[in-house]
Amino acid sequence: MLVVRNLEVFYGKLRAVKSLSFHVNEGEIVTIIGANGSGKTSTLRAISGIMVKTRGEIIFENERINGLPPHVIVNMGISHVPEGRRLFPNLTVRDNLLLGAYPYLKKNGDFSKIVKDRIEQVFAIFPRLKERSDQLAGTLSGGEQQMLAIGRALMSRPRLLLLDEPSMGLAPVIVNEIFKVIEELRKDMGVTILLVEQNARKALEISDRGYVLESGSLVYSGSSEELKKSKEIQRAYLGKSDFFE
Amino acid sequence: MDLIQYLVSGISIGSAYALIAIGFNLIYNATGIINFAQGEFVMLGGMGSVYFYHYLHFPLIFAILSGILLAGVTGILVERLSIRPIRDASILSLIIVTIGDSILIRGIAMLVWDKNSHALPSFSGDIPIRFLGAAVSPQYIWIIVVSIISMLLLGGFFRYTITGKAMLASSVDPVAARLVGINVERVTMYSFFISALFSGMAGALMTPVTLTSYDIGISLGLKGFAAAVVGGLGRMSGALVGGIILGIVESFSAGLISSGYKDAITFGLLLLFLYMRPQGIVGEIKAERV
Repeated sequence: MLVVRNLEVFYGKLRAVKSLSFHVNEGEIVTIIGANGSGKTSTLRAISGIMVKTRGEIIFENERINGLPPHVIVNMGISHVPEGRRLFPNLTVRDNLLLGAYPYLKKNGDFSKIVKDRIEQVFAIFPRLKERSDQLAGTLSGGEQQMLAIGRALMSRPRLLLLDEPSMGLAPVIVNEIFKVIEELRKDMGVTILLVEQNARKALEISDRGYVLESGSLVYSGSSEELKKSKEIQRAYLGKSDFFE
Repeated sequence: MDLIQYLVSGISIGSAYALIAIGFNLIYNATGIINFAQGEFVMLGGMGSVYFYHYLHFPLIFAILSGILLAGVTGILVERLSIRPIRDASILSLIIVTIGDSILIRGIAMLVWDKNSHALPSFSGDIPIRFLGAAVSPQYIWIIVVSIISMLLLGGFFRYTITGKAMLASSVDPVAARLVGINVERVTMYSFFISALFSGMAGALMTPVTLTSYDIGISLGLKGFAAAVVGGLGRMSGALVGGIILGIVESFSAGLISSGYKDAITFGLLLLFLYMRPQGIVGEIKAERV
């Protein structure tokens, strides 16, 4: 579904991602793990088109998408839940969701029934958002904000969902809840998911395969089972040390 | 009753200032730029209406609409030709570019038209309306009514249309707006268009009262900027509050002290706010995240 070949991403002269190649098959949950600054976020930003300085190829369903503007990429079926959620704090929960369907609304006239149905579907996944639908997004708790960010991304009916650190800054209970929803999204809505996480243990639990980035380069890849068993990954990312064993 | 008269003319001129201040706010919210060419949109609204009415002999209402549209189209041109090509430049550079735009537009207006002052007839004659013992020129009422209606329409646009909501979203977080599929460049262009329409409308509405000329944008632009700052830069309700306060202060100081001092008092008020309350009347202090 998504094939990335020799991707390089630049911040000015700095190369944040170096010759990265990976792929995501339809129906998979794939995780990219890595420390802060390893190039995970830059990779996602390159795919969704908000990082313009890229080299290499990003191919989505046999079409090259790098260089396309973000609103075109959203229309093709890729939706990105950014790091730090980035809601519109001055708009209500409902309006945030509405804007998630912006390309569709623009094409089909304001406030169509289909969009209302999509909003109800998001409320069915996250009932707590329904209770808060007229509240400003800026007043939600961290967990609710993450739910809204995912809900907003689902409003464009993506086939590929990019999730950047959905567990960031959340209590463990909420993290479990969010990860459960991510698994259900694949099962119930058939969404393919590319997940970026620092919480490697959680991410590998729900994903099929994983890639490990270190300062912009790919260092390991394999099935989640393999990665979980690898000694080096356990030491570096899963917080297990040989010391106590 | 002079005081009533000062009050009505103050509110009236103030609501025109509010329209200009809204113009500043729209562009500021969309791009972070203080647009120094804002006054030229005001001038184009007025001079354009004069041109279409006196030289092309349009009926008054069409002349005014054409003048306002001329300002709006110029707003789009400013965005497309001078802002978008260097969108990644610093805010300061962009502001300096708008100063260039303003000099250019003023120069073209002077060459195409002339250096004289021009008038438009009042929209509904000059017979004053008696109001609480004061004689009020009907044009003042036109200015107030048209300003309020257009502000309500703008409020409805932001609240009830998807494009309006997209503009609000793009102004708080352009990256997130891009990610949900909003074409932020397009939305920025809309902001310039609406901004210039509002300012052009102020110019056309005021021309029967204050006359217009190719260089009137300098002072009216500054007045609108002062209104935006007094109310709280970027706040639409602030534009209304700031505009009305400025208009009333100006009108009373012209009436009670001397019209020679009215600009000094207006800009004194601007400086006072910049020193004492830079966030304006309805603004909040923003915590800067480092």
